[in-house]
Amino acid sequence: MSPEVLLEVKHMHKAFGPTIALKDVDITVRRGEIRGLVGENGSGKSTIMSIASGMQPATGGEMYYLGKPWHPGSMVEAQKAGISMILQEANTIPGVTVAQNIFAGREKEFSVMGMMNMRKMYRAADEVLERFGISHIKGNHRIDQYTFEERKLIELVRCVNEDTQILVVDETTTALSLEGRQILYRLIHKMAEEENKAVVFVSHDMDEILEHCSVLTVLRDGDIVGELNGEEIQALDAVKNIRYLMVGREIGEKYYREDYDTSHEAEVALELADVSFGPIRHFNMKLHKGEIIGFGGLSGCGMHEIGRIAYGIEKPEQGKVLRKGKEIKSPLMAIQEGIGYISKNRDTEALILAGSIQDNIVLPSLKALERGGVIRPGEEKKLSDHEIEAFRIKCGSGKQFVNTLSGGNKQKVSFAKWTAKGSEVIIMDCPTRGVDIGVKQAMYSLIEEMKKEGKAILMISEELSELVGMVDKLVIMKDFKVTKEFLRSPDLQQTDIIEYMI
Amino acid sequence: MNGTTKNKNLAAYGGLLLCILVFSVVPPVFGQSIWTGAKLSTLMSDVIVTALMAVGAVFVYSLGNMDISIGGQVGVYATLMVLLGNKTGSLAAGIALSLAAAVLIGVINGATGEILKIHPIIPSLVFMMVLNGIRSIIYTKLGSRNVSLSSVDYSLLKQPWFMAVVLLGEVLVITFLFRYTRLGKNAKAIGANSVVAAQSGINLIQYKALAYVIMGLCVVLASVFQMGYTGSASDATGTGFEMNVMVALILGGMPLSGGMGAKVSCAIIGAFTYSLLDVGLPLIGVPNNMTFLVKAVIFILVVLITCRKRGGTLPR
Amino acid sequence: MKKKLVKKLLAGALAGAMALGMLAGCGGAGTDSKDQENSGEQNSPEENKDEESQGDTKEDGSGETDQAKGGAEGNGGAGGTIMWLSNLSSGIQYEAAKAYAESLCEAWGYKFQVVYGDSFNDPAGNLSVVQNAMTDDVVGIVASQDGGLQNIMEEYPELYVAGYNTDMNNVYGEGGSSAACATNEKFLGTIADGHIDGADLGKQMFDMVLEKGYKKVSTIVFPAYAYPNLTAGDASFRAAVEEYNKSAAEGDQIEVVGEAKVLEFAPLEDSYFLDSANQDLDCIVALCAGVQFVYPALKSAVDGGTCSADTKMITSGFEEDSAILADIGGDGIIQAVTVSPVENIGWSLTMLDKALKGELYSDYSASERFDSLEYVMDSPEDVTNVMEKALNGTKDPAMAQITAEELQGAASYADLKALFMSEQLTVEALAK
Repeated sequence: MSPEVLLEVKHMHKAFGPTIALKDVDITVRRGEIRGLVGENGSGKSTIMSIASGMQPATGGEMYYLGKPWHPGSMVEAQKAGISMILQEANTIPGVTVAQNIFAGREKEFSVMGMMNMRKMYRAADEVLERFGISHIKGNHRIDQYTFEERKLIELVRCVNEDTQILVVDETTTALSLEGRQILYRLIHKMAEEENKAVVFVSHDMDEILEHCSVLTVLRDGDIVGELNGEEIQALDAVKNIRYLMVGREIGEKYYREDYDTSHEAEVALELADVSFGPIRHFNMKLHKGEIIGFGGLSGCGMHEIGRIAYGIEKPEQGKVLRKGKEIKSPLMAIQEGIGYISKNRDTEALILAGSIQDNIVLPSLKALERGGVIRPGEEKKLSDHEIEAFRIKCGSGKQFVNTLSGGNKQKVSFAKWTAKGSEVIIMDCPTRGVDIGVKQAMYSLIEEMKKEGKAILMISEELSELVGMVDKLVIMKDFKVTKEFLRSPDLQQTDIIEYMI
Repeated sequence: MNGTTKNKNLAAYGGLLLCILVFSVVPPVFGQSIWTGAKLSTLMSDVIVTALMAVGAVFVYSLGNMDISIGGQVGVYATLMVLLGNKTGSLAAGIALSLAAAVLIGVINGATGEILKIHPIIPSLVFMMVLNGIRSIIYTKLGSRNVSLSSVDYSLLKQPWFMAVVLLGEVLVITFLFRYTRLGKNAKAIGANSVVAAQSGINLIQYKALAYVIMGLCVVLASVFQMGYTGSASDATGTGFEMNVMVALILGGMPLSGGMGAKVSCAIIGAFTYSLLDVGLPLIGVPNNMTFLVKAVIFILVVLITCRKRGGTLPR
Repeated sequence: MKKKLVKKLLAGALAGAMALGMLAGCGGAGTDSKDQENSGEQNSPEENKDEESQGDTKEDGSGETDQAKGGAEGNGGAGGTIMWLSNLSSGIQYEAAKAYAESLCEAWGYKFQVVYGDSFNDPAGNLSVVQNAMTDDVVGIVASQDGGLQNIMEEYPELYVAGYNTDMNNVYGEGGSSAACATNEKFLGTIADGHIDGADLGKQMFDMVLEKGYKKVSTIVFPAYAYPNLTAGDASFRAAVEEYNKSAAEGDQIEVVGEAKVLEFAPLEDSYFLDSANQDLDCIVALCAGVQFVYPALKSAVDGGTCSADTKMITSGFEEDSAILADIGGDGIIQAVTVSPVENIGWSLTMLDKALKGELYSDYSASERFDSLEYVMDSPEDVTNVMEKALNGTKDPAMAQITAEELQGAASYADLKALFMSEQLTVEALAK
């Protein structure tokens, strides 16, 4: 006899204008399971759960929660009823305390005669945080002083309580460090195995899914293409099978670069000479044409700042950023000198979400498109269509708004901005964040292609495996200092590197 | 999102069409008509100043900014034109001086917000106070509440056909700049997401300042017609014009947060809708003191229909 | 999705209902005031008949139940519409003038329409207001504002214009922006709000000060660029005081404290009484509209003890506020207040009516401006009389001191003017 059904979705259909995100999806969530949802970007895996948790309505189909028809009007309503979803994007309220975030919408519990008993609220917040094993965050602190990762954990604390029956974790782990992930993993196992609740786990990280999920649903293009049970997940060739299901074709073995040739041209494409900025002191780096230099470390180690300095966003207090002998002082100069930058905060710093794909792709190239002060729409379209085609961006046309695209396709657009501009040096900060295997593979071969064309690449990443797999030289940072440099080698092991990070 | 934008435009166009329809059908019941030469020319002289300003202001509003020194600018420019007109016998000197002032004010208005990292409304607030002060000093010195052109022939400025030609000209130029040059594209990008714009190599200070300068030039043009309406300027000229511009743009469906939804058509639709109400409401028997309330209700209606809503987007 | 649509429709319906309600509401209000004036003007139909063939329309009007009149389509508008470019939009004087004007127009076969002039008397603002409200049945304008008057007359050269409650300084003053109107034959002159020449006003104020025996006074005016006559009045007041002091005995001399205080169209600030010189005044001579602009600050200073409890004021203006009215005369703070009779608008309407019929008086040659009489209230009885017996206070056209018949009956321009200069329009006449 199978355990009690918590949520049942039947014939769910969802369309965004002409784009169909879900065709006719049936899915069942039972007590005690950790259900993984995997699929490429745009396969609809996040859409299903966002509908079930009240973020948006479906355009067709039915849902049953605890045996009753289920039509959540909002995320708050769903959360009250017991379905909580943690999103990839930050979802905390800035400017107030941690406690106020945790108890947002429940302030009444702490008010006496209309007056808020803040001390009581802080105490309650500390208790809850303690229970989750996050004792370093305090209820009475302002939320702004915490990092993105810590805010993510606070969000988790807010979403989950005794009444939560189904917890949806949507791509959250990409934002978390090892420690944060452990907290999350402990929580979901406790919920599923001890409290007999259910967890739906949406992720791109295959290792993570295989390790923690008890059952797996694979989606492709808005359809469910397969379901794997515990045994199948533990099978040796599980990864290959899942990838095959997701992509719909043999993905092949080739993923990262296969060569170990670290040679590059002699010409220096970008130089950071004796740069100091904040805690970073006297930093030096020479990036050559045809070279990929990787930066790795924990997220607060200073590697992201290196990228921002190199692009002229942050102005060094001392030292220079040089390109072909010219000093780079602003993004404008950087672009003029052929440097491109892909921010790790894709939705807030790299893309105009309310703009069309075309608007975004041509943005850095507008000046180049100008003929006698005029930008002809035909030229814009030509350039953008060329990139859409080259990157195989899944869309109706270049006029489609970027915020209707999936994460991977958005990331392709932010790459396309710079290939359209013909940038010679590309600084990429977390280039494959929130991107699935198929797209990742494409990105990696694109980066390899760029190297062959003689472009210089600065690759900053929190994923060690891709750094090891892609770069010629890997620089590891810790506490704003370079702790070790590794050259590309087949013998390089992640475990050798980690000790220099922590 | 696409759908929302469409709805928005539809509502704004719909509001204008509805006004035209109502004011075509109802006034004949009262023995009046809006389709007479006299009423149409009244409409033109009612709309011209607001329309000229609002079209120029599209640039500033697309940044997500607004300028509340517009009224003060109109007041001072119109006064300058009259005073210098009487002194030199031609409007040229006054217009030239106003253009120079407009460029200066535009540069300061646009650039300081970005340089000093203050809210962009603050420099315009300062200019509002400064300009009102200047105006007040001028009229106190003159010992009169208004000044009139004495020797300059300004009858051309009162010709409805001339107004129409100038407005059409401005709309064409601004539309061109807004759609087919970096001026407009960059302004929209800054309004949509200034971080992305900066990281895409747009000089925020330069393009914000340019947006304000373009608006300033249009404000000078509007001042010419404001002054030409009666051939005079007074200590109240321009009062509240910044609000007229805002109302017109909102009625036309302009997003106040700026960005990709900004369109020149918003200014034209909004300005004509508002003026149609000015001219049409008295014809259907709405007393003078009720028109404000009726306009307020229609404003609320349009805003309710065009207000932004979230949803319809993929979670990521 | 559906929910949102429903919400939108509901919002739309609600706003639409509000709009309709307001339209209906104002139509209704219009009808109300008509009813009122009809009941007050029962004696006019006969006289009206021989004026023009307005008889039948008038019958309709006295029927009083005809709701269709509520809107713009008025009763008896066959003679056309007379537009009042008003400087007021509320208050007892506005309502009284409107009621009286409507009753006269009703009697003479016109429709009466009010538009509100620009609050700054701005030329462009006034022109725009007139243009927007203009319909092709407008035949004449009663102007209470003069900003842009020349532009209005240029725009509508066929319309007759007569002034009311304004000295039309833009027309008659030196270098006025509408000076050309003065010689325009369509412009019929104006009746001012009290004195045109500031000197007369100053003299009047001095007489009152002397009569009441005040020894220490201050003066308050509006800015000279807007109201040059008030500044002139202040000067003549001071000149009269100086002249008097020459001959007066040592203890009888009058002191005028400091320069005249200039109010930039904002009420007097409480800080005025922080100046020790202003704390023990006998009287504030407010040449500006003191009831509105000076009284509140003075009242709170007297009540709060920041100035002498015996400080009084003399001024002009009139408000339907029982607390203020009770404070006039006797021991009240306001020792004297002047207000122009609302009947004055009858002069403007009569001039327009005659001109429209081509019956303009043979002794009328050119437009002119002249002073109006004033009710001078300096006792509670005066206040009661004005409130209960005068048109100004009752807002009832039946209480008008000058009737429609009297206006039509004036045989000459001189006779017509004489009506407005007669004893009829004084507080003394009301007392009888």
